[in-house]
Amino acid sequence: MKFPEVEDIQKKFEKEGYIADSSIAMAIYLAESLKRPLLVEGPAGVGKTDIAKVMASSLGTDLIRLQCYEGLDSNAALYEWNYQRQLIQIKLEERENKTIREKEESIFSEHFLLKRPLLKALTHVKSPVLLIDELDRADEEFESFLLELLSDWQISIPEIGTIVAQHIPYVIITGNRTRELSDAIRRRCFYLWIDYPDYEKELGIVRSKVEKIDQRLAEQICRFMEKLRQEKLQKIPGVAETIDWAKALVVLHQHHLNADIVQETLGVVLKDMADIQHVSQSLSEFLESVGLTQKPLPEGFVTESAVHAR
Amino acid sequence: MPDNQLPVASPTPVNQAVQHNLSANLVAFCRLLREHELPIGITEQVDALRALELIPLEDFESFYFALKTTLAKSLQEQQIFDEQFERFWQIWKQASSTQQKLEQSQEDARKKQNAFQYKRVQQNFTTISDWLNKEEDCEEEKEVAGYSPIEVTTEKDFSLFHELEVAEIQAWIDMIGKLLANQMSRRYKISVSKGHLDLRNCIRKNLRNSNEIIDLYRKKKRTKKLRMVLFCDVSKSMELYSRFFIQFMVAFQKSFRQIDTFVFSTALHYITPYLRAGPISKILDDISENIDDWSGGTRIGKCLQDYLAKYQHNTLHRNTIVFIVSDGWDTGELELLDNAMFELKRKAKCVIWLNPLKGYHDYQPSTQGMQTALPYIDFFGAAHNLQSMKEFAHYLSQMPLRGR
Repeated sequence: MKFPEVEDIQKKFEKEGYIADSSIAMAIYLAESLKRPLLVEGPAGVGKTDIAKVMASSLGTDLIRLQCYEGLDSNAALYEWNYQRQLIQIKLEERENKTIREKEESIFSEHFLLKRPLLKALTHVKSPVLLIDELDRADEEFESFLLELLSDWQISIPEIGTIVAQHIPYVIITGNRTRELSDAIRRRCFYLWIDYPDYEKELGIVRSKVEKIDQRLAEQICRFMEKLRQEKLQKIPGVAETIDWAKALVVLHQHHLNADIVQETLGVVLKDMADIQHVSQSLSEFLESVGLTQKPLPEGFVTESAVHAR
Repeated sequence: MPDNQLPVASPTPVNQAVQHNLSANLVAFCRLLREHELPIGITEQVDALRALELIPLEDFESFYFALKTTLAKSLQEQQIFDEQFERFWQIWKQASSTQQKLEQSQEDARKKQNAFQYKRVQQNFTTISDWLNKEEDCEEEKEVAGYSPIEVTTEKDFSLFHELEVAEIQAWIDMIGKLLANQMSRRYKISVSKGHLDLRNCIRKNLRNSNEIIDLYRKKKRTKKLRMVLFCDVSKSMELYSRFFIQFMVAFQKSFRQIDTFVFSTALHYITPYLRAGPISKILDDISENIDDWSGGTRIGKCLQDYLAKYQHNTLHRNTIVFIVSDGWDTGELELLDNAMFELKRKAKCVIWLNPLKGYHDYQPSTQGMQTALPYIDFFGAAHNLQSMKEFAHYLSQMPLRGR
């Protein structure tokens, strides 16, 4: 893409070790310049969360992260009063002749306020990157609550009043599509779908993330992964797994893939028993189709995987 | 065509695209997307225009990604977007030189569509004829397939079920009901006697009256309110099972308050009120009196569409489990079924299809209705006898009800 601003983003991201293709760079550019939340969806382990981290460091600002889970409510996401301190305060003020109003004012002051990620992001001095991770895990009540925040950039705390954002944060929302997000949320965001990378892109990622990796090994790994994702698996490995595997193989001083080492390290890539069995059963064919044929073994030498195959 | 003039409704992409004013073109493009059911509002259009101000327009790739990011808000929408984008803007790009070519390709597309429709009609026809021809064999097969041997030799009429067996069914369904009903939510509610101390409420409520914390407030986890919607096929092909399923439905209704039951063959009927009416004999009388198309043909798609149109607002939300009990013989339009299943899957917590034929050893879900519905089904079970009910209950107990 011949376009300086977007190329600039790509370069900055690459410096942080994140390979952003045109669609990713464009989405980030538009979200940054038009100050709209960016909804990022895609399979697990393709670098959705990393976008926010890299974005924060490339903008030179802080990352504030809100991890969503079922039952997440506004107390955990927005603010909470420090009840223990409030109780002590009440006890301490017991003998002072204060009116109830005065007491309330003292214990519901900012001193007793615990800021949770959303409030933190609104009151931050410089526009931070707010990462709302795995929003699909939170319940719909929370999603609706978020709508208000994302459109008005303000929240009201009954005891204090309305807090308006001084600097609108850059918002990245991620989702795994474990459930569909509501249309209302989608309408307020820009949308980016990240799929598993193709061979070229994955090779680039491996080479930038894993230092000192042998070029041949990196190529073999990426070809293996590309092939692996075409299989019918329970849990398809993401880029995160590719990187883990590459790192593991480098630590093990491997310079190329062979059946034994793949067999032994398959647990790094596949996280499901059935998947591991499925792949290891047809491992030699699998390696062959990737272009890795086994060297002929000395006579009488039987490998562990050969026993498996029988 | 003057620059500011908007194209008329549903014009062809060619005359839609051949305008020189970019914003008018964008509006026309949004209109095209809207025709393909992308919910694009003014906000999206404004976003797209603002995005276009930020990019160099001569770079087609930037242009494409900018529109995609701002206009298409889900993976499905992006796919539709890609198709239409190609159609619309490529034409615009090369409008003058390739006009003729495009008309040709449109002609091709029209032919293709006609061919497709013709195929559809044929398919329906084969379904009906298959169904008619094979009906007798099927019934025989089902008797073998559907019931365990003892049940076949004792009685076919399930209304004459042994008391013990009715009790057993009820016990299993009770268990299923409990499995489904007692999902604990992770959200809290105020509780008087049980659970952790809720400091927020302790302070808030006590401070109003005095300095002392006198009344303690606690919080406990809410019980999740699950709903169920049960659709039972009572068409001719399901005749042998329908009496059994009446019992099934009654038992469900008994152990599970939040359930809505429908029966369908050619039309949809809401029968929850009848099921509450007392002993099974009375229920059977009530139903046969009030529902006239019992044991007719099957139009699952149309019936599910009817449900979506009339009842879904009260009964279908994200905590709803949809049960469909049918053999999947659909003589209606498959597209209706496809759309209805898509909607159900999208809106409900999960879709469970129980097909009594599945109990048969070499059963393959090969009927077109079943084929259409299969991609949208979370659990495809048999439920033709008690054994399959046990398997079903087992599945429910393992089902990750949370986190869908």
